[in-house]
Amino acid sequence: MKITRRELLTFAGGSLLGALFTPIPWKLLDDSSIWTQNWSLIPGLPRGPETFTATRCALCPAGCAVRARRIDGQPVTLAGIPTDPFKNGALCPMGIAGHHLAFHPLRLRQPFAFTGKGPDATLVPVGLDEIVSEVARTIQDLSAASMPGSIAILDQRPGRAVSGMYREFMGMCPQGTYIVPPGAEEPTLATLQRLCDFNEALPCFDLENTGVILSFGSDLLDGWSSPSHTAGLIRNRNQNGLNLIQAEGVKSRTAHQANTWLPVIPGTEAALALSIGHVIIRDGLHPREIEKGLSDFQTYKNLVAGFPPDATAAVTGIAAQAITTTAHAIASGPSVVIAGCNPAGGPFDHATETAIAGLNLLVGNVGRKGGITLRARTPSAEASTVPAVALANVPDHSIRLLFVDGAESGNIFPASLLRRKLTPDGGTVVLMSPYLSPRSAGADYLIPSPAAYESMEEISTRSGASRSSFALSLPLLSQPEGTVDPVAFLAKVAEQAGLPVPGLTSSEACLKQRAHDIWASKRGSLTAAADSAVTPVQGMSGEEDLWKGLSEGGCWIDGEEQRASTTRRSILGSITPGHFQPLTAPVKPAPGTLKLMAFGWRNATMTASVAPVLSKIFQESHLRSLGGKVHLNPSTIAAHALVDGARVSISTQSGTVTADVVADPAIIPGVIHAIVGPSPNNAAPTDQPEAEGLLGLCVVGADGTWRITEATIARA
Amino acid sequence: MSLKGPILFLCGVLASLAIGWFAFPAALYRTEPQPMPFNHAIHTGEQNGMTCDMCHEFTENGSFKGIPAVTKCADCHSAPIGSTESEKVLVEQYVTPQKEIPWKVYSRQPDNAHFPHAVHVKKAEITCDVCHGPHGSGSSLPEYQVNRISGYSRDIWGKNISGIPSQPWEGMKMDRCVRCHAERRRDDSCIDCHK
Repeated sequence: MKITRRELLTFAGGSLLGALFTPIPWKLLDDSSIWTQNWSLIPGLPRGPETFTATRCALCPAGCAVRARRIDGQPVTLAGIPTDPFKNGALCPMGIAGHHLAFHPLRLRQPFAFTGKGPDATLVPVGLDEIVSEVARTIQDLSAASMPGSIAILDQRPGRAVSGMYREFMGMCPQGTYIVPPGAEEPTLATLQRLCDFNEALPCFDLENTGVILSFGSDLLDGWSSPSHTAGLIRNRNQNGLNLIQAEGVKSRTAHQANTWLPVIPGTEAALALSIGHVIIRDGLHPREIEKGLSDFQTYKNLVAGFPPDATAAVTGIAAQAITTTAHAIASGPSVVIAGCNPAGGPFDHATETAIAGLNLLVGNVGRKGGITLRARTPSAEASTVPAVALANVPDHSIRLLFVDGAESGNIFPASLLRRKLTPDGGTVVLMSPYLSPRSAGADYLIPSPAAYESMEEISTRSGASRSSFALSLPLLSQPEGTVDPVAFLAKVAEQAGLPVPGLTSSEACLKQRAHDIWASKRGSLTAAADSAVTPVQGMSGEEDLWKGLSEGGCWIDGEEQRASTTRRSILGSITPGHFQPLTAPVKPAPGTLKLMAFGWRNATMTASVAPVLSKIFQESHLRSLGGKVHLNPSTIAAHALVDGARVSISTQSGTVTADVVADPAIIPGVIHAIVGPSPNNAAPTDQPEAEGLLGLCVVGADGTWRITEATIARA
Repeated sequence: MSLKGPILFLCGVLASLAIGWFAFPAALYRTEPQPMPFNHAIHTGEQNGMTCDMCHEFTENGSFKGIPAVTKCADCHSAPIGSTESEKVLVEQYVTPQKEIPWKVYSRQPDNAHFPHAVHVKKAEITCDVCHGPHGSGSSLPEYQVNRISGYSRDIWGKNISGIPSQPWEGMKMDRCVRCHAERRRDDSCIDCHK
């Protein structure tokens, strides 16, 4: 029988149709998709013994205690330790995925250099020795004065043992400057240090014993100091009687949880603080001895006389009765007044910080249990005399060579603030960071430092803590070949530039030195991670015991806090009444103009390094927004003929950026709440850094702040 | 009009159906022997009265140990109990040299699927047979068939190649997890199971 072509095709057609009614196509599709999951090249979970390691999270200065579950040595789950002596019992959404960050698509695994500047710059891999030679040559030229400008290092997380090395290195360099970024220090305490002389001690908050917290925009539950610690206090307020008053221009999560929310109009916080001061003096709520104890009490009294609650209410948006009630609340017993600092919005101006922090002095909080107490500094034999200079105070166009330490500070600031400190040609910027980030855009050289949990890192005293502490973030992952320890890199540069080589040539050596200093001081005690056993340092047989305890996840905590004794107290310091805007009727913004306020979540603002799995959670849960979104009050949306989800162009004098609108009744009308951070689907290859986005729209004032920028909005 | 064309077309359809429903499953799965026989019924039946968690136990931290280690077998079988061939193999080849028995696991899931037994068994109080059927009462181990493409046991898809279970416990694919969670009003997100 001869089979024709037509018959063969007919049979094949029938077979094809029949096949659709069999499991073949669907089962093959299913099985082949599973098969692709098990290709040998796809990394799989290790199999092996289950172990647990006590370590700490170094993604921000809070340094929360971490219990890492490991399979065959590989960390698979991170969780908080509720019994940690510093009560850091929970991890934030960044912290639970901290072990993913080493594998982030934007991870740097070898040194890179940008060819050229600006948007046309391209990233090319270079050898470390080449960068060391180039940087050393620049230092030599600056030493020989054949090139104008200075050398500086920006330490993103000051106060660590490696910070001492950075200072030492700057001390060796010609015109070396050690710079700290905005928000690196807790603004209230930094202001109180300017107003008072605490001798060698440091002020701190006694939150455990306080009755009232008046917070001006501090994200107590999301990033300030240790949120898990603060959240514990707020959760137990039925027992401890804590009264939280949140003065903030947005109903943030902290404002939601507060006993009272004061929706102050952004930019009028100083007037509100001075009006509270007015009520305290008017009603005689301050301790009488304060009048003699404050060198400028009369000046302050005259200043606040111009801020009666009735008149202030019209400017700040806070009713006179609420101002009076707040004043009575903070003066009724131990209280703490905190000048907030948004991780992306930056600090208040100095005058506002002074007005807010000064309330602590006015009601007698300083030196009082439950108010502002003192702690001794962490022991350190640091000999460097190079002072720390705030970035805003560095003369413009003065830095020719800048090293940037890429440690996670939790905060971010506009690149324009850094750019204007560099020499007009843009200088030379060396960024030591594990990731390609928005900050990389202005760099000339990228040095790949170890990522989280790849090296031993210091967990120093968290901001505002009532006792000094020291612990280590222990490595859980091996360092990829090509990463460079920042301290070792600087030591290499010093050697090649002919400078004296620093005494400590690795980060681990700096940590060991700090442990040695603590042991030599014989202060405090070590709490073991395994059984919470407390061993006084004095009782240890040698410094090896302390180092061994720290290397096993233990935490050194200093002894009891000290009582505040001051030799000088001023409530205004160098701030004069002229620094404050007098009360006038609120100025109506120009038609169509809104207030742009940058906002970000701690750490998510810092770099592009949100773990990809977390960006998915952020998008699905809407618990936290990532970059590229602007939150507006529905009335603002309606006034500008927009809709929820609309694509809009935001313009300021710095430029225009497109973003997506999110309707949010928590935002007060007239404000653009611009979310700063990586884009949700940020997994770009490492050839170009992310643009700075909405933060780049913020205009940095002469005082180095960028809280509020006038902006216009239009449909894109 | 010639009927040759339609008949050929129908033949094609029938051939595909025969291949798809009978030859394809036979070719897709490969039978692999277990390392030794095992009688669940002897252990869990009246003779010994053991419960599942006496061997498939939870650790102190609440995690599930899964297939018991040979040391667990050695608790009772440090010396042969009886004179069967399987008893001899167990003691001589595994217990005495302390070598783990390379069981083929019927319910092994991909690494990206996280199934906490503790939550399901202890918190939700779901009994073992809801997912594993009468596995714990069988007098011999069922035939272990492995999918030649995916590498997983046939029990994951279910015995019926159509994917339609003939018994409520058949199949361990994600749709079954989702259905059960929906019935119990546990509408969880991806990250709950896919770590």
